Amino acid sequence: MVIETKYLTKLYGNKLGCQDICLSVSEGQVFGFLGPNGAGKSTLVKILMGLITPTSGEARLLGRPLGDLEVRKRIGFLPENFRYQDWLTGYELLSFHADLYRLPPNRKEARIKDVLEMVGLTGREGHRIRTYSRGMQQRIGLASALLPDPDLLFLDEPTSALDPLGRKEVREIILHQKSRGKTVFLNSHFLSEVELVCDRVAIIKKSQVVAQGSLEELRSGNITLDMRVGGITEGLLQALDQMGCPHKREGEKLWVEVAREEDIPLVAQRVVQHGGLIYQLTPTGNSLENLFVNLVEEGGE
Amino acid sequence: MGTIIQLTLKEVLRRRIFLVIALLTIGFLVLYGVALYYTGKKFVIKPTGMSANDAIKLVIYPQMLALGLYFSSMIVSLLAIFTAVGTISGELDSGILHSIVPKPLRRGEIVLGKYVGYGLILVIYTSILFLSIIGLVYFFTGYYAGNIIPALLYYLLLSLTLLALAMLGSTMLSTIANGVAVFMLYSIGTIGGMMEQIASMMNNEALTNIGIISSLIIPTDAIYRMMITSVLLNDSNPVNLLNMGPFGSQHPPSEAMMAYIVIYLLLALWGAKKVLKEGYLMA
Repeated sequence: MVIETKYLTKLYGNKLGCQDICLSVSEGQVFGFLGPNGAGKSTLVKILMGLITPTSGEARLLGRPLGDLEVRKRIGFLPENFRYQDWLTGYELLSFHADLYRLPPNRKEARIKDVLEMVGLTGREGHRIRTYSRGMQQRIGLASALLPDPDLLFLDEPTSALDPLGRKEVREIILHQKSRGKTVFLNSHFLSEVELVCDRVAIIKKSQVVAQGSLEELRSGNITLDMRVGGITEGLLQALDQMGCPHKREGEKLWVEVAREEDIPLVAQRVVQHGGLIYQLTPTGNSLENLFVNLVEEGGE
Repeated sequence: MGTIIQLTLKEVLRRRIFLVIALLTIGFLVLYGVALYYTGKKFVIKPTGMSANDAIKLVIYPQMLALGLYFSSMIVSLLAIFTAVGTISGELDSGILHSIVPKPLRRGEIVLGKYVGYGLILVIYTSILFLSIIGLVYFFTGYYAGNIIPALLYYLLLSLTLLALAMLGSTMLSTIANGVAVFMLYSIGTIGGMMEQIASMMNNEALTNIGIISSLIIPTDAIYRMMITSVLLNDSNPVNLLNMGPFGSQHPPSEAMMAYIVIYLLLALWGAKKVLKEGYLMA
């Protein structure tokens, strides 16, 4: 396990930051952490990064307890509110972070060049950070997180200031890390982005984890087929009962629930067999966004 | 820790405020020098009996020195406060510390690194200022204050103590709140010190107690008194002139006070590290 948390809790006086968070992430995974604003995403990341101390619970990163200094040499972090000393040049900032990571001097130069290239800032490192746009600042932040070639990379809203092209580049960096067996923990609001790069996802609501699993597991909740069918008969409805598919009917509108994607053509066949005329068939509820919205809405399950 | 020290030094040297302070200090020294020049001149012209003039010189010159040291100690104090007042709170607000804290270094290293970085600049600046004042007095009036090195060390201790206090405040308060708080503490210390002076001239116990309490809350004035005692009361100046004027020292603070000050400084730094570790302002 690269990340392991057991009942991690943070209380601010009476207010809950996060509660009983149990997560596990194994090596080489890209793990997505989702939740509405104020749910506790950043609180969790800050606890793992050692910025705040948990009220109770424990966690291990790369097999070491929180606070272990040695293991931090292998962890990279891009904070949500990234800001850097604007009186430094990009190069000086990377040099500063490289020194903090205790990179050996013979590797330092080469690494700085490499990460600049990875984030597309080669040629800009000589300018002061105060001249950088917000997107460039996020890129230099990402570069500094990549400096130690981290085995574990924490990215907190890493594309918030980037245009679509920039976001694509960050996705490529994440996938590149994954292809090299590195682990990435991603906090993001962009569900579509999470769907494109993550293997496993956890959803947090009101300081608690409400869902956790692989993307496939999470997306394969029940699928509702939104249909408009002419000529619905009792026989047709009974056939659906026999298939074990709950359904609801309003005139020509028919909603049928199926457990898996593979059942959709079977339902269509059965409807046609019983003389139904299918004018419309739209599967819904099979995306991360729907799951997220359902879970996170007030009074959601 | 060395990395943080280096960065802190870079930060101070690149800030324009540093240049402004340097220029203002030169302005202050020029003004002081001019004042000394005219003071010195006045006593050279009059050809009357040497002994009367010498006696007056022995009173006025030390006063001029004490005046110079008093106001420059204020400059140095304010510099110490305002350099460090936002060092941690500002970086927390801006998010800069969020990328430093998760690195492989201890919280104490961050606090100490900043302290040493700012401290180095303060020590250099303070030494130049102190020696300039001593030098200017000697140059224009021929009055040489003895015991310079111990006095310089007290002078440095003054700025370093305030620096530690400002850093502690910076972990707990916003930049402006911290500036106000430390400045007010410093003012309490200054006023308390004056009261103690007046009190011992008047033998008023209540005022003396107030003075002592304020020295415990903030010992910066006590440090000043130690310094001025060291400069004015030594082998070169056997006459006790300390009773005269508000810039001197009626009863120089004791050695116990010295120990207290050192503990005070160390506690402030330790406190800063502790509060930073709790992540109070980081959420």
